[in-house]
Amino acid sequence: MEPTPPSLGVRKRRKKTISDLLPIDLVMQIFKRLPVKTLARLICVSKLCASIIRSRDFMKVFLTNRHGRLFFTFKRYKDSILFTASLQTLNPCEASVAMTHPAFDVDAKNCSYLHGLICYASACASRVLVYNSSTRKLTTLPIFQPGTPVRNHFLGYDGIGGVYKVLCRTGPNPVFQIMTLGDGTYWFHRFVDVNDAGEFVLAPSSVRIRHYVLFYDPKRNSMRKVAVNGIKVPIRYDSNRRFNRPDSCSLLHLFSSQVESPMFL
Amino acid sequence: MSESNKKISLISSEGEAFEVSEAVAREFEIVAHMLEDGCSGSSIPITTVDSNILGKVIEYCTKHVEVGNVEGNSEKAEKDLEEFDKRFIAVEMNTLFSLILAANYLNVKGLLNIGCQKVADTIKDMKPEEVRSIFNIENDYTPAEEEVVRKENEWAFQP
Repeated sequence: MEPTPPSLGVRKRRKKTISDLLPIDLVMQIFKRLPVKTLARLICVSKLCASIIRSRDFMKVFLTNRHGRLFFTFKRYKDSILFTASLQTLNPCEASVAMTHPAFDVDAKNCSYLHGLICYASACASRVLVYNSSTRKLTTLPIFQPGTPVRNHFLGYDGIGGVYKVLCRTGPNPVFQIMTLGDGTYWFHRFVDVNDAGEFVLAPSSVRIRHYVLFYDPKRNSMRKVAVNGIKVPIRYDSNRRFNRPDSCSLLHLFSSQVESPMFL
Repeated sequence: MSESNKKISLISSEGEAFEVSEAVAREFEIVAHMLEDGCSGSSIPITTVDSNILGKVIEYCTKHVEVGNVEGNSEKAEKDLEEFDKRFIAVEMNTLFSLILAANYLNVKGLLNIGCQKVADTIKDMKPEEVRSIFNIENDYTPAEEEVVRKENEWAFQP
């Protein structure tokens, strides 16, 4: 018999995946102690390893109890250089630069950051970029209204969903959009109104299969999502297309907190 | 003081009894909860942990309880304990995994902590191939898929 007790969940069938060895929650307890660089290599180990590391649950586990790092950027001519410093454990009054990042065009006034992710609008302010200081990778977020400058943006972490979101305001008539990082899907919302309850009301810019409206309460920092059923999108019959797809209907206005009016016109 | 003299038997999955003081048994949070819930029996079955591992976990808890009771010169005691932990956890991987599972089940936080940290330290600088071999994991990527995922994470393979 093996020294490992079979009754402790080490299944007797061929040991092939990491979850045969330890339950996933314990694997996460081990992985959360590793630097992102090791995690990137572990993604190459197996599909299960990759899916554990990429999961939102792991994101939540990983973000608890991390030692903070220090970032600073310097501007040199047009480009900024970013330095990451780590506080020394032996002497808490000293920090040393751990990494020097390539030059990139951070706009000093238009930058938000969280957990080592830096979100900034490019110099011409028509694009929003997110830079991960650990992986040194940069991604450009799709912008709802191309050509209109980004006024401001805010990078946040949704602790309930375990995802990063960027709230971005563009254009002279403010349009807000919320983008979820990572899964490749971005929600575009046109901000129109604040309702009677003081909530921000956000709706997607176009109607596809399902339509929904988000109510964001800044006081309680909570968001609720309301699915709106029954919006019929006409199907466009197009001889050039092999499949007739619902026409994408774009939203023009959103009117919140509307009541009945006895004004007979 | 009467509490610490009380003896409790912990029964392993093979039915072997380990007699320990209540203070040591209380290091197992699962046992502590049982005792608080009024489970007054003097023998507690630990059905999912075998004798070998249970013996080790008891050794760990006994040492930690002893050091906790020593008065004065706490700095030296702490250093001793650190050394003890280091030696205690220097075991082969399968035993380490069993210890982690047992510590998790019995809810011995300190042991769970040093066990997970030890595995993390071991794999920290390893290549994917080495991790596969110590965890005995099959590579379920096709060569083409692996190439893509390696390319994506190329930066992590550079020193």
